[in-house]
Amino acid sequence: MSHDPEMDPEMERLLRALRPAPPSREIQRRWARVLAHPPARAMARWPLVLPVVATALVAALLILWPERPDKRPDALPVLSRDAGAITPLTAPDRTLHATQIENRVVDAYEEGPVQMVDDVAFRPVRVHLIDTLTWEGADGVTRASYLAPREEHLLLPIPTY
Amino acid sequence: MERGERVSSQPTWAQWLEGRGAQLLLFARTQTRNDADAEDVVQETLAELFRKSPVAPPPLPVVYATVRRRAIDLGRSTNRRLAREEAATEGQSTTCWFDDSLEQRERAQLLDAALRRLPANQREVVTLKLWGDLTFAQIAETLDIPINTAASRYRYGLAFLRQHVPLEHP
Repeated sequence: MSHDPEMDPEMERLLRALRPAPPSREIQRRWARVLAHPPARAMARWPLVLPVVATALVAALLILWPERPDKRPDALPVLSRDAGAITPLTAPDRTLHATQIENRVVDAYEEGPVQMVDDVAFRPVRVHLIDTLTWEGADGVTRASYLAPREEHLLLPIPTY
Repeated sequence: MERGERVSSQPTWAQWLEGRGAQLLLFARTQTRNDADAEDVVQETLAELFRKSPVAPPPLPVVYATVRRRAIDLGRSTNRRLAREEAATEGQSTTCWFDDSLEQRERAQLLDAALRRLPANQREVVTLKLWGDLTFAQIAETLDIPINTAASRYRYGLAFLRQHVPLEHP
């Protein structure tokens, strides 16, 4: 009970004297049944659930884990049609070899002639190129190309007569 | 004392429920729309708390907070259905929330009517303070409100009840 005079202790006492209505017999029986169920039943499901969850986790890891080439075996066993024996299959050669180098001129800009101190005249030319380097695999199908733009400045001598 | 006998001051669930059942039901009634829902809410609360704490009941604020949460969940899920049912059963008599079998029957019925007319936020504070045996601090914890707010709502609620429930014996 509150001792704060604002809280009206006399009224509090009177109201407390009125007790909440007790639950009916039927309700008490229902509640008693709830408390009669051992909660261990719910816990007992965990030993069944845990292996399933663990298996699913391992399966997901195996599927989603990135393939690691260094772990791949060098030779894979295959079943031979003729003898029924197992023969190793060598892994395909994936080495690439450079097969083509190209320097392609895209644009060339001529700039005004210049004259050097020794009276020799030159024609400056600014050239835009694309360098292409191509590698190919032994199977003739696998190919990789590297393209790089580049700019060169040239001084071409102007013949004087 | 026999070997292996458990020594504990905590009541068992059955003992606890015997003393608290009526209080829980009253609080659930203030939080729900009808008696059937209140009984279901208390039953679900008991099941949930018994599963979490099978040895002994948790502290009272946890119990009342669970009743309240369950009642809110139930209210959300059955709002439309109950609105229809309430419209259909409007005007029918309802069970008195207080023990009206003794000499204070008239006062119990007056209190019942007044408590139902209290604003919900005052009604829950008054119920928890007077019949739930909670302190203002525990009420604040249960309802997730400041202590001053709890005390203020209690003061207003008590003033309202004083107007509608006579101090003198009727």
